[in-house]
Amino acid sequence: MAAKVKRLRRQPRLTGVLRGSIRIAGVAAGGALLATVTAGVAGAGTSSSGQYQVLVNAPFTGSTASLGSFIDLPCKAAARVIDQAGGVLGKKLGCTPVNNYGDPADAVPALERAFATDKTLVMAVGLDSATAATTAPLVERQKLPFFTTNGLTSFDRQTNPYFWRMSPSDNQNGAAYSAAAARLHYKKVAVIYANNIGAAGNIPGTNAAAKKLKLTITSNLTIPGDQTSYSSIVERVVAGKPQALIFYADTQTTATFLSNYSQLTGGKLPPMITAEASIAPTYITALQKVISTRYIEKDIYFVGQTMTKSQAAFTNFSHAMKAIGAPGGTINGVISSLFTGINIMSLAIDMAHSTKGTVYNADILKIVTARKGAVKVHTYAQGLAALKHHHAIQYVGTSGAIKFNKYHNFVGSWGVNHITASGTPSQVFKLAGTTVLADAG
Amino acid sequence: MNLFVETLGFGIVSGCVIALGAVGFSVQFGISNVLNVAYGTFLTLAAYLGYLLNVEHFNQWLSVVVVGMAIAVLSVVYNRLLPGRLMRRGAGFVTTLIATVWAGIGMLYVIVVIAGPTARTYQVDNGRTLTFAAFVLTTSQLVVIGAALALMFAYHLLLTQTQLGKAMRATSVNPVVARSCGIPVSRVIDAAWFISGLLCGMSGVVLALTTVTFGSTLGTTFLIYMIAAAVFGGIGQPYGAMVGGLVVGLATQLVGAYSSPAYEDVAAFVILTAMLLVRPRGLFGTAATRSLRLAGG
Repeated sequence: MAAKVKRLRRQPRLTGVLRGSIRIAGVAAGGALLATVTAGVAGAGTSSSGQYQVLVNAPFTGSTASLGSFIDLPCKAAARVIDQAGGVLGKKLGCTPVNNYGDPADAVPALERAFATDKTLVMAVGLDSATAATTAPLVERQKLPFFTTNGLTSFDRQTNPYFWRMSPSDNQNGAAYSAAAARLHYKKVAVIYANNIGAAGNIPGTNAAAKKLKLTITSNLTIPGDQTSYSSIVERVVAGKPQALIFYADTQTTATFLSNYSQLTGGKLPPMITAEASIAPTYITALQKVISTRYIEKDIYFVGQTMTKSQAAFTNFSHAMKAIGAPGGTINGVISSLFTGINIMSLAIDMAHSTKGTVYNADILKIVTARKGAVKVHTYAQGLAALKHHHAIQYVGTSGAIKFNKYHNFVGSWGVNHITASGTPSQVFKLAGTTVLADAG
Repeated sequence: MNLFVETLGFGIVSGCVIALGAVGFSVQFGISNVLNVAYGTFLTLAAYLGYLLNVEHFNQWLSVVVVGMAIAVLSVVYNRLLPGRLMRRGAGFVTTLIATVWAGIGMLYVIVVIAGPTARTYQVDNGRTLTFAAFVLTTSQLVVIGAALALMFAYHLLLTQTQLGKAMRATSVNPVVARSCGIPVSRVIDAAWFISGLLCGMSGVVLALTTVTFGSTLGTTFLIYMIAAAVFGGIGQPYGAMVGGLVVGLATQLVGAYSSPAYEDVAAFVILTAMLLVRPRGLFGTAATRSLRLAGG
């Protein structure tokens, strides 16, 4: 009897604890659900109609939405110049944004849905670092040629025949940052990367090249994105007395970090070497509000693929970008590689007289390779005109002649640039691709 | 030693910002028994409203108050339209929770459609950088600490020294009995949502002023810290949320200073998990009445 009473007495307490636990679990689950779902909220790319569509696979929503907002631009610019020249096989080209949410789990169903419902897709671009490992095989299964800007080192020796990349891998870019620091005669650098796949992939290359180039790394930190404060991290960095920062993070993290740095050092910031690819549309305006314009224009070195401005390809690219209202900072090597890629794939379709990936994919290599009697072309219009006259063509893009290796990767040279507050780049110096690749190990 | 003291200072600033929002979150639950996950969306909305004032060169501290008031009013309206209505119709705890999740998502989509996906940056006047006893803080950060402490003290006075505070505590213990005693329960609940909305709005703008640049994920990101702080201190307990906020802020900053900064978040949640394992009701949680929870006693 006494035991029964004891049990009965205990029951409400157990129930109370259980209810409390359910509530706590409810809060956690609700918060996590909202975080998961709303991580995907942030606008979306807009599709442009055409009889043939380019699949633009990028994060248009979520914390990396700024990336999607400028991966969409080269497609619109390329579609514009291609349509002005008469279209692909005489038909209009449009862009179909497919949101990968920056997350492989969301990217897969989104892509599969697009493949199932849209039969006008003839090529693809995008596939950023966060999702490419998962999405590239899906695109390959559709036999859809694609140009990507992802920086995953695992694609350096890939064998997917439909994969094409004209931008360096993260490892190679990382080495370029160290090479830039050495070229600027810095001996002590602090290396700070955001802890996302795109930024952190640079670390091995940076470290390897720093070692070869005898740079002293005073701090080597990966930092979480979007924190209220980086002050304690800044203190660690400042204590190491670096001559320069090698820094790569999203706009939000960069602005907060530099704001904290400026606060703690009375506005004295060491020069910064960063990725040209980090220039999202709001990058410059965001930084202008936390640090001086002089620092942005004189002390930040943007490292990215070099572009040959004297060529018609650059003029064609920059005019097309301006015509669609792209911000100045987005006229860079990474973006131009996608613009060039769409032009090349479109010319390959024209050359093969087929939109089937299995048919025109082989012509991509022919279009960029120097051959006897081939006419050098720098724009889609020039290429189409030459093809109509039954000439062989060699497409030369914004970064010069394109030489894909057997893994369908092409790494040109790197440009180290300053960028004006209005987003206009000016090259400080160039880094030879072969030298940087040797430094990367 | 210097690094440790400096880090404490930065941790207190971060903690105060988190605590401000965590107290508001806790108040909603404490009074109306609604776990409003849409709170994160209101934080984001506050940051955007603050930004609108910021681009018009409105005084940054005045904008904290103005946006706080605006969110307070919206919070009352929101409660009357959704959680409050559901509760009156007999919806259970989980049903209401799920409704707030989807309301939060819906409202966030509307914000994004209007504001766009790109990050926004405040023009912030941080004031001078002051150094004292190895603490390095800006005058702006001192204002944040002072304002957070003042607001929390004001809330304590409200609960313990005013008729409204007593009515809130009575309502939280037993709304039916409170109503039979002549307490206008629905007005008290409105007042609670107004106060929590005020704290939410203010913390949203302060958050954006602290991070300088923000996007549509601001509220969701920091709601997780606020929930962690609220649960650490004992959900529904304002004083617990204050302490929880400071613990989360300090933990993240100390890990950033002494370990890999990549583990800042991990550290905060390890502490939270450890607390839940050792004391599931949180630091200040007891089996006592909800009025005590509200009064922090």
